[in-house]
Amino acid sequence: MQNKISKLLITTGLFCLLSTLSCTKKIDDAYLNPNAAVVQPIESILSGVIGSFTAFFSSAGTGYGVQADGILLGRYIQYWGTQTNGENYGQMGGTIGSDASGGLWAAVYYGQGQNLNRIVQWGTEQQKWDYVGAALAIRAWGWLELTNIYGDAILKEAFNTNLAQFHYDTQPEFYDSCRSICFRSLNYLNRTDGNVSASNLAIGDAYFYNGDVNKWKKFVYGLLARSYQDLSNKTIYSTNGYADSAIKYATLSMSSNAENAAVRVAGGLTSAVNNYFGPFRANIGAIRQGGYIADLMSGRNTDAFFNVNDPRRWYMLRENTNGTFKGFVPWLGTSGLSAGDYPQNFWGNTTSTSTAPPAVDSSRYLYQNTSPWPMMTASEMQFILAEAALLKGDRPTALAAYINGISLNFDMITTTYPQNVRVSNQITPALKLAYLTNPAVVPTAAGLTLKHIMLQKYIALFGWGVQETWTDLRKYHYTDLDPLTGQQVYAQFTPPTGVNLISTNNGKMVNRCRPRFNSEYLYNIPELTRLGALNTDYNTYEMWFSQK
Amino acid sequence: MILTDIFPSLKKTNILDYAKFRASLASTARLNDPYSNQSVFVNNQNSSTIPGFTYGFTNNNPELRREKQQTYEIGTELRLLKNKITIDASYYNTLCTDQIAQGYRASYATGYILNTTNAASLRNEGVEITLSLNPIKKKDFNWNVVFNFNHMWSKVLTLPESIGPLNDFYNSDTYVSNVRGGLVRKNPTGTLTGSKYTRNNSGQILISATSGIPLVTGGNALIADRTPDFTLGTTNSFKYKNWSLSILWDLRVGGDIYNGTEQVLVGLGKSPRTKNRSTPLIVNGVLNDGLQNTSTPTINTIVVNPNFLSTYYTFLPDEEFIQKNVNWLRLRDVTLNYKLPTRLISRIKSLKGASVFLTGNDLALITNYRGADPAVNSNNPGSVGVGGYGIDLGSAPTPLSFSFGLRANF
Repeated sequence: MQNKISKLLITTGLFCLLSTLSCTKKIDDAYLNPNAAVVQPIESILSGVIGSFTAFFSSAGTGYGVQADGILLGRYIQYWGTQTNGENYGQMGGTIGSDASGGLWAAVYYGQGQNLNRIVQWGTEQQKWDYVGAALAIRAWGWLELTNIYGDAILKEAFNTNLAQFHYDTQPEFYDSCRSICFRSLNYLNRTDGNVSASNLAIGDAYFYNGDVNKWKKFVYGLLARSYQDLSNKTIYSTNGYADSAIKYATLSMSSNAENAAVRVAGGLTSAVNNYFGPFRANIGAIRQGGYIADLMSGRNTDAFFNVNDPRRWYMLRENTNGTFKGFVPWLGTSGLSAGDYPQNFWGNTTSTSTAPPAVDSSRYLYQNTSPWPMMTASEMQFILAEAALLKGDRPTALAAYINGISLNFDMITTTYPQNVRVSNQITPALKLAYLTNPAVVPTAAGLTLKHIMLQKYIALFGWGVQETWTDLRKYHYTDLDPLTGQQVYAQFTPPTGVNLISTNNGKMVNRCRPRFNSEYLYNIPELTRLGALNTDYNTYEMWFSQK
Repeated sequence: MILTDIFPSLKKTNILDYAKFRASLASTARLNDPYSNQSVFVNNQNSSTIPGFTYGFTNNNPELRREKQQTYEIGTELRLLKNKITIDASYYNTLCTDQIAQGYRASYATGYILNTTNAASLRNEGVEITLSLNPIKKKDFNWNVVFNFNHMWSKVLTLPESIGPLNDFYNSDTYVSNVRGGLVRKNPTGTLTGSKYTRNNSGQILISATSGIPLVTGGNALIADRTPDFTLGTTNSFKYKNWSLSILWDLRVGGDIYNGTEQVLVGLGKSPRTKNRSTPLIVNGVLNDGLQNTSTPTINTIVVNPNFLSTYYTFLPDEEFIQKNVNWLRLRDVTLNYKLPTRLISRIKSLKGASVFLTGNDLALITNYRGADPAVNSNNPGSVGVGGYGIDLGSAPTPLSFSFGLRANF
């Protein structure tokens, strides 16, 4: 009898087991598409997502990321200008009717979008917590960058494939989401159980952190630091003690150049594996350095670093036939510069007006075919620390961080980007020391001002940090005065006015980009109408982060 | 329901031989394309140690439902005067709901560029009438005429929400040049969309105040409806002893055609339309000078010499190359058949019958279409949707063909 009962139990048990097993598979899982893969190893997905930081390159879309947008946005902040007089972005315009400056939008929603969701989903199933943490870090980066460029955007309804219209969420919600995803990311990055493996992570992020989970954590801390320091103009910054948060996370973040977050490329004979700014891809032939940065680094700005020749200019900028460094006013194009003052293009073609790379590659800094592209550096963290400490009134900390920020930037340039700089112009330890001990650059703790910190940060982020520098400039409304000194924070920075400011801005300076045209301006009209995004001056609407 | 069987008295008048009414109701379902519920990966070429992959453009939706077609049809069949006249008429009405819209554009917030959902519906209605006449029926001679009339109308009821009221949904197979078979809500399914002249509030064409040539609004606005008003096929068959002759005429009235060939040729200066290019002209319209929407718009007086301003030709909108209401009458098929006499056939064992025939196709075409041949189709029958008819871009006209043959049955 007992035998019979146990037999029955076993049979029932087996039946239950089988039925639960068989029910876990849906018909789509059982009949996978034989023509194209619907599942891929997450290791092979992460590399493309990292590529979308800078310039995504897939069989279904290319160029999404910060680099293509940077070529345009760099004109707002006068990093550079084009040879065209009255150029739209130089005049602080924006784009309607094209996808220009919508690259980040595509990167975050499409290039990263569902790919990140799958890394999180499959990574969780496979207990590869390092992959899950890295994917969440990129998602957090995406939300912060996205809202800093476009303002309100789609957050809560994002990635819902059953919707055809999407609600826009507010900028503070993006900031909150970014931070909460940062903390989730850190939780996963801290895990060592399951299938966490540095060598396996290195397969996916070979061209970013090469499997070093600790560096990923520093990247996440850096995002948190940015998320607090970007709000320094707001009332909540002081009432909520955000300066302390910024200091805390900037300190936890990268502290050496070896920990810098940078997207590297393999180099080779295809565009996909070459730097977007390099001569092979030839995307920046028509732009020239801005007059503002050229003056700032040549001692011609009478309010900042006056009479100090910055030795970094031989690396970051391009000389002219007069042997000096001059630059364009972004809305004026070539006008105003004599032939001898006309800067070479960033690849150093000796015919200064040429938009082509020279026959023999002489490109430097970020403009080489295989230059690593920084996404966040130890130097930037020091400037966040310095700004936060100064706003708190902790001058000694601010000064130390300020000096450290400059020093780290010198070191990054001399170690990572020494190529094609003539020996006579190379930075020596003595030159660096002379710069750092020059009172026009490094004042006493009592003499340190926001102007010093923000302008050194402006220089340190030159080229790669367009988006973050734009955030800084908008935070100080381009021309805000330092309440302590009464002087302009961005000394002598002059935005376009009058006829040089694009007429559709109605006299206001640019504050945001319009959402990507082919995504939103065709297919999300009701929300854009609600937000006023169809107005010609929507690009001037002030951002939440820069308001009190 | 055969009325003449229910009420046999109907036949007594010798007019009506047979009368039938029919009605049907059907509900069918259509499934999505195979595997269109599984998004696929494509190659990613960003620097990587192993081959990289990322999701492609299209969201293949795992939550797709089947689309539903509900059709009702009513019809009648009448035979009169000893079957000399036969009328078969029907009306049909099809409502497609939960239509699977594949690959339509939406916000990138889906995580994809193109989306696939159950998100459209349309109604398709039509009348088909077949009239057969048998005017002469003798022992050796028979003459039959069959008319085939078809009138169809349709309406796009809903489209995916993401497609704005002025935007269109299109099947990329019908995207030819800049014109495409775009669907617009509350319009027929046979519409075309493309670029138009920019006009002021009272509909006058706006002219650039600097160049004197018309302004064009790009994009894909409704510019044409390809659906014909009606089609009528006429078949005459004659039979005399062993000889038979059948003649098929096709008449098609109405429906627009996009003449992309002409657009290309005009742009290249190879169309007769550009022959008078040396004659200076003034485009009829008003200047886009800020007064265009006032009560006193500036009438254009800028003289254009197309010989020196080729943009006059190359900037013409797609709208300009739509030919409205194209009609055609085509001699589709003429076949002469001779049935070999039985005494000839009986000589060959096991041969039961044989005939020789001569067929001519597309022997004559009478049309108001300015292009080569209005029976154009820019893609093949394999494409989904309404297809590429009425889109002419480099299409060769239907060739005139003859065939001669022998038919034998054993």
